[in-house]
Amino acid sequence: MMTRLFRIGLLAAVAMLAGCVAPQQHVDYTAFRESKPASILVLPPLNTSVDVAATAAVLSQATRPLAESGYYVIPVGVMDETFKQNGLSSPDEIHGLPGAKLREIFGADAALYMTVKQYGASYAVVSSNVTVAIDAELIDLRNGAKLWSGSKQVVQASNSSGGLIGMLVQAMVDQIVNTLSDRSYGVAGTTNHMLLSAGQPGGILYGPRSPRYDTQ
Amino acid sequence: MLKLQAMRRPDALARAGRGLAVAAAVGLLSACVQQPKSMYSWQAYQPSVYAYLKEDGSDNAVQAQALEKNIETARAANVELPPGFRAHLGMLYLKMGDGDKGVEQLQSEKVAFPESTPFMDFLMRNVGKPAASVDATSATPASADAAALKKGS
Repeated sequence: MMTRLFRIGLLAAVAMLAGCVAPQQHVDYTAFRESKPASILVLPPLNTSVDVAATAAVLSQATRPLAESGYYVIPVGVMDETFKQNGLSSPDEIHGLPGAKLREIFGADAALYMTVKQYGASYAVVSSNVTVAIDAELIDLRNGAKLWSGSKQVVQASNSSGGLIGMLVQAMVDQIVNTLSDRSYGVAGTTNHMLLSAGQPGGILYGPRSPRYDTQ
Repeated sequence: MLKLQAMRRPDALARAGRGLAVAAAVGLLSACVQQPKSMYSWQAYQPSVYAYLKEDGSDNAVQAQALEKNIETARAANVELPPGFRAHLGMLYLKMGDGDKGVEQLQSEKVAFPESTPFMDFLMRNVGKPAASVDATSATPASADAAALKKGS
């Protein structure tokens, strides 16, 4: 009986050791290592979700994880404006532009092509979930080689407690809060961070500006 | 006496177990969250870009003012501004019709991040064009470059 606590503790300790080891993906980094990209152009993402706000939320928050991983990221607002002034406002059209042309204008070594699969809240009877799911592909703009690809889905459940009535009230409050404070924007930031940060299994490699670049 | 000792062992085990559980819980909270020191001072940059992309009618002057304040804060904390920060501020100034301040920011983006040189030069070439002068379109490629971009598609 007393040893049960010990066993639980041991189990928790083992779980902790295992917790950070994501299922081993066999990612081939050969092309990535050869390419040594220093700058990344994050193109406006395709959006297959039902919320039009997804593109701006995901595009505006992609810079931070990539820059903190050691890359120069082409200023996304200025890029977007440049496309618009040239009559290109749909991500579909932009994703279809030849890599050589993108490199000529923006001077980036690689481009990140993203698709937002899911964005926003779904309401059930007693709770609401906010889900953001993104696919991403990093392409070398100098030779068209695919350097990396990944996808991430983050589901943020609402916190509810206090029985069924409490949960129903919570669901109503959530709907209001979701509208007011743009909870999806926050979840999009988390998803970007988890998808585009270096130093994790299956993730991108560190870039030249990172202090960890030489040790990887 | 013997009985007491017998009691003590499971006690110790339980204590060890509790200790392990606490250590594991703390580990779970901290181990997976790698929080190395941030390389850059982010502050309002990404929210400002978001507001800009959403075209929610936010005032360019107000945005520029907020970013200028961020520059002071970053300088005081001795932390670098992130990639794109200066260029974004520069674009806001160009949209406001302040060509000098706009170009100054594009220049400083180039100095801070030489990787930005091709794009910054592209933008400044267009700012310098007489036709583009200081109206809202001066931040972006004039017709010649526009044609260049389209031709490839």
